[in-house]
Amino acid sequence: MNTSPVFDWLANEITTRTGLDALKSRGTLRIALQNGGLEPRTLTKDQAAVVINRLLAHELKLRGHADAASMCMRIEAALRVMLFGKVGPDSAETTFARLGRK
Amino acid sequence: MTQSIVGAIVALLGFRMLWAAVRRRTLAEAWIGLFFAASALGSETGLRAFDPTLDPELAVRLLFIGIPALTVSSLSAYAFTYTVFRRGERWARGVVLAGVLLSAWGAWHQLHGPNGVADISHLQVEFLLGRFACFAWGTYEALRAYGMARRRRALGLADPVVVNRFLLFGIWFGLMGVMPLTLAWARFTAGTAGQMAAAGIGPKIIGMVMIVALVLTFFPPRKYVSWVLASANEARS
Repeated sequence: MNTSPVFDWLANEITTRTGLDALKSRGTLRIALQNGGLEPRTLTKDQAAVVINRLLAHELKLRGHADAASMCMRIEAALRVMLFGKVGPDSAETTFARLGRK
Repeated sequence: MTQSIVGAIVALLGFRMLWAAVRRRTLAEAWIGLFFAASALGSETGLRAFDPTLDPELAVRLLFIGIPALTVSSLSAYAFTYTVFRRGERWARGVVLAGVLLSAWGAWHQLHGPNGVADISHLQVEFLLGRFACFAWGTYEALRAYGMARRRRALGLADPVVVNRFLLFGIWFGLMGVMPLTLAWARFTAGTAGQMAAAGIGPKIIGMVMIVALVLTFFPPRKYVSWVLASANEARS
């Protein structure tokens, strides 16, 4: 399955900062995204910031990382200075927002 | 009467969406526009061909306009679902290809069939199957998107009006799919007479609900939008 550059970057950050292997990092991130109703292929930078703040810390805590909250703050700070290209084609939400416009 | 109103709204939406596709240069609007336009033409011609009081020659002519139009409408529905919800996913391309083959086979069965004669007595199950499948997929994807968007809304990541639009789309798209299923079921249980009776009742009930859902999706009144926003705020607080 295609994943957005933001997803790939974030999964890599989780691997680097938590010591989880790549497969577990991606799996943990996928679960966090699923809980937030988001998809790996359309994840944007703004969405990722909310996921890190509201969902990721909880998932990492469940996997035995007691300092998950501070870890997530550091990941979010790193995310803020990152620049990503456009995320693939329009999301379903963007298209549906247009459908009701004149 | 209800069927005519639905037909008029669907035709209007078709032109509106096709015009939007030209202005915005977007594929999704082009597919849904073509879907509406072809559905309007197909319903007005193809479904009228089964009127037993009609001259058989005229009925065949109407059928040869209506069935291809309804087939184009089904293909556009597959393309819209793919473009909006599953673009770039290989398995979804497979679903579209299967849908194209199923719809083409159904149209061939209705217009030519193994006997080499167009069937103007009723809609054949083979045709209805292809028609139903495109709606089933689109409805599933819209309702799945609605479920996900609700979770995003809780995080403040989704516009409540758009979240609601996914639900409305799932409702009217699903109802459009239920219509051929009702006809097939009526024919299965009560023969051609049953199908004719269902064709009279089904569109009236389903059509009324569809009109409401279509209008709220594409021409949402301000009051309705305010109500959706207020409900979402209430749920969050």
